[in-house]
Amino acid sequence: MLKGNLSEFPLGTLIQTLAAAGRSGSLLITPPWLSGRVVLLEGSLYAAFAGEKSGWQAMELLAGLREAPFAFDADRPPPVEGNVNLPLETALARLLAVMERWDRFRQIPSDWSLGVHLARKSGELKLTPAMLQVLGLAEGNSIAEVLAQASTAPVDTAAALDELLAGGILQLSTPAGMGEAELVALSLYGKQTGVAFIDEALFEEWRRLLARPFQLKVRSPRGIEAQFEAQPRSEIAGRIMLNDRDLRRLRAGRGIKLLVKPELKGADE
Amino acid sequence: MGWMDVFSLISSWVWGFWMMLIFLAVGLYLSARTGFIQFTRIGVIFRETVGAIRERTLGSGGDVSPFQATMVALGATLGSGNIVGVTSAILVGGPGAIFWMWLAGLVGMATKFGEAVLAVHYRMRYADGSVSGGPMYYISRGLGMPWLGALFAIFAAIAAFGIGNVVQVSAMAGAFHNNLNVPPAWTGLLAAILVAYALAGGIKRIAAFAQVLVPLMVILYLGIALVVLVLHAGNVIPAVAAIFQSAFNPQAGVGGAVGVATKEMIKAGVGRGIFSNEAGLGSAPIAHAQAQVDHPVRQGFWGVMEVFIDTIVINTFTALVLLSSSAWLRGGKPFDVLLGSFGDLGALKVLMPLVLVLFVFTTLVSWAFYGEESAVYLLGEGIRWPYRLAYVTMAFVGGLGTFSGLVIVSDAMNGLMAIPNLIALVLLGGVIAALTRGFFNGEPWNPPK
Repeated sequence: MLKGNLSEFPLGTLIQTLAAAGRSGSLLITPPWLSGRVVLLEGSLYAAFAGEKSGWQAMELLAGLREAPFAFDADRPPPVEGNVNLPLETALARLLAVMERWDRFRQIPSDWSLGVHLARKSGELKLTPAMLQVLGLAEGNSIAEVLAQASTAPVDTAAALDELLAGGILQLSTPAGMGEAELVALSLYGKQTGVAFIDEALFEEWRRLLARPFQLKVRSPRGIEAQFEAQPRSEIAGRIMLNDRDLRRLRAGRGIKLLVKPELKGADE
Repeated sequence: MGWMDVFSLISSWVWGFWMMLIFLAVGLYLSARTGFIQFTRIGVIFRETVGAIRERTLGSGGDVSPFQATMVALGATLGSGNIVGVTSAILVGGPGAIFWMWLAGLVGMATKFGEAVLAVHYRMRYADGSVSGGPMYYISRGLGMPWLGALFAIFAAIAAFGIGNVVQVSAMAGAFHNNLNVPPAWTGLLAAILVAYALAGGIKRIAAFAQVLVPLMVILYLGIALVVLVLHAGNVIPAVAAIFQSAFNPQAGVGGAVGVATKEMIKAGVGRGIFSNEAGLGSAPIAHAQAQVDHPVRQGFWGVMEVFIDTIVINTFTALVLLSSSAWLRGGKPFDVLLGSFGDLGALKVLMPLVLVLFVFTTLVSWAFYGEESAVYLLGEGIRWPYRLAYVTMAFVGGLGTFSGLVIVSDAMNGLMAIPNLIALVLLGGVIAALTRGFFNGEPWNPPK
């Protein structure tokens, strides 16, 4: 079974290779937030599915994935009816064009599990119907859900989302499933305040999950909240290291358990 | 001149007046290098130690929590020296000796801070996460003098059999025999069994013992002392005044201390203070090295606290009990003098030997670890179990007699431990200062490779 990741083999190249070899089977694309399937029949693009979307819309959605594990299953039987009714050359040309458009969306991260929500600040922006639809879907949904639920073509939805993010109308937030961590405060001394050190293993995990620069929102048992720049430090598993003055501002001290949540930089500023 | 005479001579020199001045000088030097950390950072020290007791571990390499490591060290530090030693100091030097004991303690805080910092900084970390450290490692790795580190380890491995073992079991057997009529052989057997059980579990079990027993014995002892102080409440303030008044003027001392030379008073106070808090001897860093900490300075704070509890708290209570009850004026054997301060309080007279047993037992176990680590440094892991076996055997034998020869040798070895350790503390004073500066600048700790 052919296996890999789209970060190493982009979807266009992959389908081109399989088609050139005249292969039949299902290309299963499985990022954590979406289930995708592209069906090839004797080297032709036969059908595509991505979440609730199917046909060319599914292909457009899958074309936006920069990182996702894939596996080609040659034994899986094709659906009774195909839903991509395009000649192979045309389909590949359109796919490459769509992927080129996706590449221009700088605001959309590769991790589509990140949430989208309305920013507090206001701004002037001429809204298109696609943008209005995105705004309607944004609050509380992840990028993947917004892209999948919008009735407009995924690549147009993505363009609208990208523009709204660039304009600061929308902001990204941590994935809904990414909860707070309870870390024990450890005092740090010196002049540097506003910085929170967490164990490098946890820092790496959060950086990998968020795929973007993040800061930490810290809440003390007394309910006082503050945001800190996140930095890694070795050998402090289960701990958060804060300047003694910052700890006092939080009405906390060494040994106090603090609730720590990573936030994407720029959120709620 | 026989061998025993040679060791007696060494002992008299290493525990002599000039050596005490060297201890004080090193403490003052380290105080200066660390910006008198024991005074200027006293708030931080209390927050990082007493204020952090509820915490478990701090991550990082090491086998036990900083609190446990300190309790192991305190288990060895708190011993008969806090009871018998303080009483001896007052009997010899008068109340003023306590002032000099405090002074030795305050200076010793910087010494112990430096020892704990270096112990963690230069400790060895192994693939299984365990660590080994102490003066032999910071002498070898920090100074690049493995022969001097080995010399320290030889002294410590031998001293453990006397100061940490026979002397302690012998004192315990004596107290049990005199007060509870328990045959010494039974005491020796009990000590051997308990030590064997503790040692078989390694540092983790020793630490588990220490973290329960040491606070218990401290609370118990302070409770007993408090009862006596309440009974003699009217004499407590005059007792404190006597300590200060006679500190520079032995003539102002009370009763038996009249005419005692200032030098003798300082020698008694400082000497017993050093013997009691062990700052500079190099034993406690072996335990501090085991702590799971993110920065050596954080364990250094526990070193300061160890001396504070030993000298400023426990020894002061002992002194106030003796002085306020006026028991010391009657003279006699130190332990009997202390028991005499309880007057007719029979319950306290029974409790006191039990507290002494706790003091002795924790010292016994902690020193076993010091000796074992030193032997392992010299001869490798293979020596661990033979050393334990020898130590347990000596614990049993210790109950049967006083073994004056071994005690003389181990006293000399115990004092000799200080020489390589003090040399290292002076030469590595810059490292201690740099680590302290780095910690208070929020810099991460980079252990040597």
